[in-house]
Amino acid sequence: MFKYVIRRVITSVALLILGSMLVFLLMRIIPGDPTITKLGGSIKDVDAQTVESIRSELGLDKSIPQQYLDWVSGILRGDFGASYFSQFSVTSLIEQRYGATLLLAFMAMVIGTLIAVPASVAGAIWQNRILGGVLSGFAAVGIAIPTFVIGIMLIIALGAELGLLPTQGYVSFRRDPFGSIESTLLPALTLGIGVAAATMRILRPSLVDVEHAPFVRTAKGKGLVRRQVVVRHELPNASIPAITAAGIIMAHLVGGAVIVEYVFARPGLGSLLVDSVYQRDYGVLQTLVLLAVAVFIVTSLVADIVLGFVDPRLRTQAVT
Amino acid sequence: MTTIAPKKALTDVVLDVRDLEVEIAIPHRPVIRPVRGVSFTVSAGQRVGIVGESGSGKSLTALALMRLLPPRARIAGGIAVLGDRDLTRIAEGKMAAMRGGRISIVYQDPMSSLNPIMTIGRQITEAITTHEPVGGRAARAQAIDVLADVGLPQPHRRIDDHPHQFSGGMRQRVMIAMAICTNPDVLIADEPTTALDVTTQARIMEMLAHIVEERRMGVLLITHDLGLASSFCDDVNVMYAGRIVESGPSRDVLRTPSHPYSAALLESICRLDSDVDKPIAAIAGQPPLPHQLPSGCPFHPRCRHARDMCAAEAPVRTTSTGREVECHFPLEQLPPR
Repeated sequence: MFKYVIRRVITSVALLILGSMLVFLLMRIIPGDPTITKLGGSIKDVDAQTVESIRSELGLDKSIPQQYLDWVSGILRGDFGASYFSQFSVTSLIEQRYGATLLLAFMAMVIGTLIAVPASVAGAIWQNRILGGVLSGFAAVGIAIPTFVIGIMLIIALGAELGLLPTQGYVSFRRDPFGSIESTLLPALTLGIGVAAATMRILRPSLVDVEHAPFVRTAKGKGLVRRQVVVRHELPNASIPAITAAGIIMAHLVGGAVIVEYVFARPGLGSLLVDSVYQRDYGVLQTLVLLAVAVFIVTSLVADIVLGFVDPRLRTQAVT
Repeated sequence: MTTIAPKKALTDVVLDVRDLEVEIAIPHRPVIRPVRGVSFTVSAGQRVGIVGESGSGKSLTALALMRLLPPRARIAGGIAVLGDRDLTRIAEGKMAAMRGGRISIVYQDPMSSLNPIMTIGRQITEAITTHEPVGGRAARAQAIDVLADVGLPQPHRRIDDHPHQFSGGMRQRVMIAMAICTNPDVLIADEPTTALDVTTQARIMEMLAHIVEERRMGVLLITHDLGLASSFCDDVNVMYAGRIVESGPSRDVLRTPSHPYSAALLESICRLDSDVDKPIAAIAGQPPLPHQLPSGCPFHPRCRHARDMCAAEAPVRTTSTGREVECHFPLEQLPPR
């Protein structure tokens, strides 16, 4: 188990380095020049010396490998660099914003799981065609409909029409935990539907597969009733592929968070990302994208370690 | 295998199966009936064998008794009385309480019949706590005892291991432990040793014989191996195309088979002391498919002794000196040609 974890950590670090290079290169390839944005959108009236001083201030006059190394060594020291546009450091920008996103992602994950797992289990216990159709339909629609459409529909239905929940903004968790959760409910539900749909797409077929496994027959032979067979034997085994796919579900979550924060006007990392795209703010952008990559890699790593605990076969295989 | 020689004189019937029928109905296809009126009894401490080829309906009979038939199959007729309850009619909730409690089953494949991500201890204690009002600690102690009974070395240490840490033979011992831990009246062993090598097979059967003797458990052994059945069982039932074609004390059936099918099955056994160059006497042809049953006696197309009458009329069951046979021309009474 220990060896297995070490090996996975090393792969993850390698992936992260590779990811950071890709992100950095991507930022240099996309069109647009932050210098121009900083100067107000036009370079015409500005003398070359000013342009040059801004470029050197931002470090853009150095070679690309040099810029990359500066960036990475900064990150290793905990310094994410400066925003090219605002006067804040990237670190402080992220510090201001991560709370809203973290709460959103966490609540979406909880809501998604609370929808997907009981629904899949219910589908496995009461195997009737109507329930199965409804669940499959939900999963297909939940994946197909873009997150912003779900968000807008929920804003119209639950927010505007019924006035049940706040639809815009965010209250800091530290200042008002209850209000914070309340203001996050609707966006988290929006995102959670997508998470639930993605999870169900993996969990339900694997529940169907495991149902025919001989050990399920053994469990029935012990005299367990259907509910016990599903919850104790089928679900734990069927959850293995779902845990493996946690990274993919997390990617869905990150992508969705960007959109949801924009739709619900939440001051989170997602909206920071969108703003920095508009402003060609490389400094912020590359850090945020790298952060998303890191979240994906770490989630996959954690999922694999959790898998080692769920599936004893992985543990001993890694030891021998 | 001398130690597992069957014992005699048993009376108290625990399982009485009469005219059991199983139907499979797949939409847009004719309904088939792979089990067509099977009757036998199992007494406390008695070992009864059902022997037949693949597709004879022997495993479906076992699954029907457990009420664990596949989705499209159902019990279409007959009764199966366990104690004072008819297993074919009681409600599913009551059947669940019988399953694993009064009647248990051990399956063929010990490799995949255990939950791979649950310790064997939890799998056994689960069976105990489902049927007995005992706490976790008591159930665990019981599980260790029963694992010792089935011959698992160091059960107190190995109880927290997972199935993949055991060999096939040991896993089958665990499966048996799980099936007997509640002291059921009847243990169904569905090809329990088919997936194991011959030495392991002998040891497991020996252990099983010992345990059922000690606990006076009735055993229904489902197998394709007539040799295994006759060495383990008091009585054997030879099954062909969904019917029991011959039944009787296993020694008698083995020594002087009445039904040509039993005789052919015996001849096809590859014996260790036989000449290796001599071809094994396989039974010509295939067992009939349930939707294409031959007329008359279902075995007549493959029977060496078949006459015109065999194709025309289904044979009736005849009884003589404790043996029953379904054949127009049982072997010992076969008139000379």
